[in-house]
Amino acid sequence: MSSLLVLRRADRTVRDGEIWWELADAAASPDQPPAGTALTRRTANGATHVVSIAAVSTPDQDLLPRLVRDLIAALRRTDTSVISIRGGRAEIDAALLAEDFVPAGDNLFVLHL
Amino acid sequence: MRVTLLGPVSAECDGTDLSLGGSKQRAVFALLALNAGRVVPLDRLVDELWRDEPPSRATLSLQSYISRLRRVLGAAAPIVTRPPGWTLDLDPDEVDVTRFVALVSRARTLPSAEAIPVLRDALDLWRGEALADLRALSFARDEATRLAELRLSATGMLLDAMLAVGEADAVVAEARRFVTAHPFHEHGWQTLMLALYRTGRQSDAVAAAAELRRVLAEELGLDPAPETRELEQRILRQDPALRPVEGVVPDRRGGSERPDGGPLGRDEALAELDDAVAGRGRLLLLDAPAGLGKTTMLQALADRVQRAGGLVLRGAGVGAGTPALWPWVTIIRELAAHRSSPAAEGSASAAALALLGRGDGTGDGGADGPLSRTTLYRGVVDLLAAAGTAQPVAVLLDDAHWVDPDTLTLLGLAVDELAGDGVTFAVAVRSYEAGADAVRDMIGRLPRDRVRTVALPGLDPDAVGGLVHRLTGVVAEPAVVAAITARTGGNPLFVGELVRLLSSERRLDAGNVAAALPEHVREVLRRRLDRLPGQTAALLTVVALAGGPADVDMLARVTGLDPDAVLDAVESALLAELLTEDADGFVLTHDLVRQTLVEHVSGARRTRLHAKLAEALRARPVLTPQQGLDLARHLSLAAPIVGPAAAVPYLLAASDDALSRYAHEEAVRLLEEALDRLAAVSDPAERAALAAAVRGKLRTVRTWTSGTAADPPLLDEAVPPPTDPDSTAGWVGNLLMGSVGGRYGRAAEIAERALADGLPPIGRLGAHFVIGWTAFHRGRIDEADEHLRRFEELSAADPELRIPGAISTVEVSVAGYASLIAHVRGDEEAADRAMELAESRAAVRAQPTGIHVHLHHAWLAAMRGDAATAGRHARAARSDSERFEFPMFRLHATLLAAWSDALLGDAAAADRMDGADAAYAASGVRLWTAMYLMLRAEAHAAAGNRRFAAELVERADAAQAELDDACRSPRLLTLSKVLQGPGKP
Repeated sequence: MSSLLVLRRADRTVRDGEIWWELADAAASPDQPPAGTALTRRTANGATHVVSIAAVSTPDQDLLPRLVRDLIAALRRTDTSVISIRGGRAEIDAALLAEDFVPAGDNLFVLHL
Repeated sequence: MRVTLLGPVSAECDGTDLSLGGSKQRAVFALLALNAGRVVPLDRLVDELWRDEPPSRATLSLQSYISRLRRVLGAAAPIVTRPPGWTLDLDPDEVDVTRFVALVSRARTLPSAEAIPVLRDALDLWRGEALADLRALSFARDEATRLAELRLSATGMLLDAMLAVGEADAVVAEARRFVTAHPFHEHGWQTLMLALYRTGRQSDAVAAAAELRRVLAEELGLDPAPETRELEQRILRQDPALRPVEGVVPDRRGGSERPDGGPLGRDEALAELDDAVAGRGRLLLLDAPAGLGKTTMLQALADRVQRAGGLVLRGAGVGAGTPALWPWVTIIRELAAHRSSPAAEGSASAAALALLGRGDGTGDGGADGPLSRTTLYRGVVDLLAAAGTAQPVAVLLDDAHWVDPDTLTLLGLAVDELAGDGVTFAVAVRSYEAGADAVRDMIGRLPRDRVRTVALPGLDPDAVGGLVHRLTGVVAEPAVVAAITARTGGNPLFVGELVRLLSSERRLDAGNVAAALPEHVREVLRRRLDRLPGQTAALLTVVALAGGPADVDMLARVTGLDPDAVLDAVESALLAELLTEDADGFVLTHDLVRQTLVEHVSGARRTRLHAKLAEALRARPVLTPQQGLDLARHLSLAAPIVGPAAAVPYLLAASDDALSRYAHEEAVRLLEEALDRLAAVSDPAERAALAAAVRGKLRTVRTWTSGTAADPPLLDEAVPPPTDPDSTAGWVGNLLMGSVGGRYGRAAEIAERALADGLPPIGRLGAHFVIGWTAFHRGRIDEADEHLRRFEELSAADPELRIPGAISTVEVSVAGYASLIAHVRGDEEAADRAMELAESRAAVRAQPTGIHVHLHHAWLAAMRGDAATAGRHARAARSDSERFEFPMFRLHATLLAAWSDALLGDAAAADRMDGADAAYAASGVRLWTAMYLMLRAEAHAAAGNRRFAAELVERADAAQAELDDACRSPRLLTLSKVLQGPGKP
């Protein structure tokens, strides 16, 4: 409960169809970097691909799974028809499978909404 | 919309199949559809679909599925948030399962001939196995099994009905298919046997019985049931009773039970409420620690009053930092919305409505006339009394330990007058809170028969058991109830939170409940909060620090989330009943939730969040008085980031707002708080400048509202020059209040120096007023005239230029003094015109500006020797001063009224004037000292005491020399010479 992390759209310049997301502390000072970031790209046919995703990872705190879950939840709220993301880490893969993602080979996971 | 669950899950709207997503999302939909029109608790959904996931993650996923489904289903089948879960707002008939069950139930009530098509319709709804694509989920398997049983039952009913109406041939074929598919279903075999018999195939019927016996023996090692064996025997002996009989299947549906919903275990307290509502009214005091049900009892009282056709008025907005008298603002606004005969109300009530009923804090005192605190209170009491004659009225005040002193004072008056006349008051106070004693003190001063304390002890085990049942729908074991009662002490809030926690953790059983019960309600709340998604907990923390209602816009601004994400995130908190929504935004359901949330946020993080909350409020184009106070509070708490002075302008504005409601004490408190904040400003120059502004206002308020000169003046300190409206108001107030003891010259010097050093227009405005005002009182009429004219020129050049301040309106004073100057110069027409200008300016200002104008009239008339006019205005000023509680003005008015009386022949008036002047001198204010001494001399001369009159004239001369307070009234100067006699210059 001490964490006030929220996943929000970052105010960063992107190309059309792309969104930068940041997992940030709502109580952070303005100069504090976000705890995690992700870039999603929306294709012309309404699918969304998670282009990159990264988060603070220390022995005490691994925020990547949290970022993945929050991002999937956020994307599910949009009108995207398909979400694709690359897994590769056991915990991330498990989180994706729990969210109904289907492995498509080469660590790619796809969710049809 | 058509929903199919009797087969793979699907939904169709206007002929289009809806995309319901993956299996979990379809499962969420299926659970909602199976319970269409009913609430499916969040915990149940989590339990069914994310059994192995931590609750916070599960809730996050669930929220996103709900959000997605809302998008897919749209308005055709909205998903409505209804704590503790969601409801699919869909006609149950549009769900095939519901229709199937309803048709089968209906068929049971119909004659066989009518039941047949109904049952065929029911069975035709099936598209495969129920919930066929969700069989991996246990709830779906269980539901599918139940429905399959019902389908078999319906098929059996159909065959029975067909047999009953003589369709034995058709039944033979269908029954054969049925037993082939369900070889152990004996009722199917019985139907087949009977159908064969009725079609004249007795031997085939007996053979079917033999086949059943073989199947059962070989597959299960069982014999047929006695009913089957009996049927076989009856077929063998061709029992005539086996002929077709038309029958009706009895309706086996049970009745439903509706829970009462009232507070449990509170019979005695509820009896107190009933007694109060039925009786002549009283004050009910609910004084108990947090969680014992004070708010619930207030609601119970409200329900009772409303059921009795009465009116419930709630003092809302009660909380730390609520504007003065704000609970009464909300009460009067509510009353205004309900009153039926406004014409019958008196002027005080109308004025109270104008000031409080509007509730926008503009503070101009209402357009219909003056209103003092006394009148305001009278008006409120009269309004309540009028409402109470038409219907039962209850005034409710929750969390009264947080209200301001003025609200309590008015409450005490209202209870004293109305509690015996049918108005019920109910006040909830949290024991051990700092403000509780003030409430008890107020109540302690009331007549004892008007007050009843409603006891709220802990619930007994029976009530705790009832509460568990109400919350979970299950009857808890006595051991569970005993453990919960012992741990919570029967505190209903603690019980509720604990039961919700144990229920959501699936630990509500005797074995678990005794094992690891949290010891404190805060620990329970912490665990409940830990079950929420991280984003939701973050938003709740922001709500907790907001201190009052937080709307979506504010939450979005503070967290950087978009509004949709905010709404999604708060939903699970709404469902967990940790958060609720009112007209102004989201609020936590209990202060303990706030405390639990805030206690884990470090000081530095709180500071940053307060800064962000302040930023969000500052972004609003208009602030209500409450928001202004909230902003001041957030800025105060964010002082390490925004600086200690940031809150000061808003505290000054809040002080003005308090004055507009005649809440003088609150105004002083806010100004003192501003001074406290300024003590932390590190830059001495900045600190001095701001402090001077605040002290100036504080001195003004204190001087005019206390009846004595304020603290030692600031004149000898380095007073920074004014730069903006607030600092100008403070600077002017400082110089004026600092010089009312007779030091006009020093104030004038400071103002002249500031003017010479260069000031912005608002500062020049203030400086010209100070110089003009002091010059007049020093007898420097030309100088006074010049500076007051400059003031008018600056004002005319920029109408927006205005020195704020609710106590004294400078523009009115300028016109008033211009009138006196014109008189001294002998231009009476100009004097009258200036006085008319003062009146017109005062007409749009709050009191005490009106008193000021009356005093100017009285001073002018006294200078002119017009006792009648002076008396009229002095008495009006005195009356308003008493009503407005401005004792300093009253001293002036009393003095002038006595002079008028003396000149009009009242022999005792001169002595009264002596007494009034002594009281005035004791106040420490020396303004008008010389003129008042001359007027006293005139009064004593009129009474025949010329010697004392001459002595007073000498004292006036001495005062002019000592205090630099000169009287230039031509008439009084002439009179002085006459009274002093020949030989005096």
